[in-house]
Amino acid sequence: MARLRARSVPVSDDAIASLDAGARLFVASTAERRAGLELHGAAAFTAVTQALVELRADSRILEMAARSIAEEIDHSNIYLSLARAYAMGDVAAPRPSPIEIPEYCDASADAQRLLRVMGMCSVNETMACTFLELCLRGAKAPQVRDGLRRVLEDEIRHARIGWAYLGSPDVGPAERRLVSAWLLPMLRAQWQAWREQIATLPEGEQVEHGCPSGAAIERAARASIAELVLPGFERAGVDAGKAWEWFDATDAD
Amino acid sequence: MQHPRPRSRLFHSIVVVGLGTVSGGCGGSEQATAAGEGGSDGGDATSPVDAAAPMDEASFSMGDAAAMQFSTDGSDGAAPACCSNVVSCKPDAAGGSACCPPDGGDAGVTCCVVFAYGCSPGSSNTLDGGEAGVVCGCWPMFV
Repeated sequence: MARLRARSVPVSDDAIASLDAGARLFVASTAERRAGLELHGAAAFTAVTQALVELRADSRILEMAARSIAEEIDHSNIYLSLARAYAMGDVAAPRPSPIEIPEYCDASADAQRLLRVMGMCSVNETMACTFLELCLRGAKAPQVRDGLRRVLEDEIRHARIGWAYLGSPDVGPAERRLVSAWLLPMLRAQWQAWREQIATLPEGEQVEHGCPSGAAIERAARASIAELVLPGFERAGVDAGKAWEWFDATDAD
Repeated sequence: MQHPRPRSRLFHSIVVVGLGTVSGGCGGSEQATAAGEGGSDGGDATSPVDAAAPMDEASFSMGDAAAMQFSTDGSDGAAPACCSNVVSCKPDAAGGSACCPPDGGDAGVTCCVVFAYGCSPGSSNTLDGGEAGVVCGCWPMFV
């Protein structure tokens, strides 16, 4: 189902024109930031795709992963278009750069591959969907809504990659035990990273333009662990007991 | 603690459909059920949760999870096994992680996250003296 889509968004919008300069700059800089981050996502899916090749995963899953690389680049273009619309001028396009791929210490090569798919897709992209749903729920500006909808639609599929592999015949009891053992450290690392990244967001919010506050994003990220990630692993037969204990002991504030 | 049972449409669209993609379980039929329920994102006719269309084997061996102990160094100048990119890191003054910045160590430390869940008590990386592995690094986030 090859899909080639024009991923830019319209360049004029009354909702944008109605904002004062400071608010427009806030949204523009947020969109510019996300444009760069989405390219990191493309790099991450390059690693996930390679891992799935080496795992000899079902070709349907591999196709989803390979397509995700280009879709993350599309997302960057969507956000860049929004940045330019809100800046009412040119914004430099980000350039791709290598990223550091997480390592799971002392795990075998195949375990590394499996955990990369789990970490990026079942954890990180699943959490990203909740973030995007939060952004979309508050957004009123038509261009923003259009862009966010397209990104969320893709990110749902990206998250499914991990769950699809976990539900595939390639994953048996030994692999589930492995994921069970690594779920807590994997989740804890990613949660910490989310919090640190949220802490770098500028003060303020422009909810109607897809930019919720850092506090709201953190609440959504936490909810995604409780309502999506951990129940998802449990549904897949992974023991999430220690991860639940950690989660329950983690300060919600 | 009693955990809530997940019933959100997002859970369905991501997890349920995802798990059924290759296994042939409930993915296809569940997707058909979800489609057309209306948007949950503010009133649009078609929610991206619904619009994310469903996607149309090999065995491998891996180490026993119980054997995944992290060998810590606990000393100056030696990078923990997980952090090949750590150069000459040192335990910080508080006895915390040797390779998590800010660590008070030498330059060249680039691990963004190190969670020592499995290090020996008393080592420079010990947080909890637990059993399972160490994750070094994090996946890129989009916020």
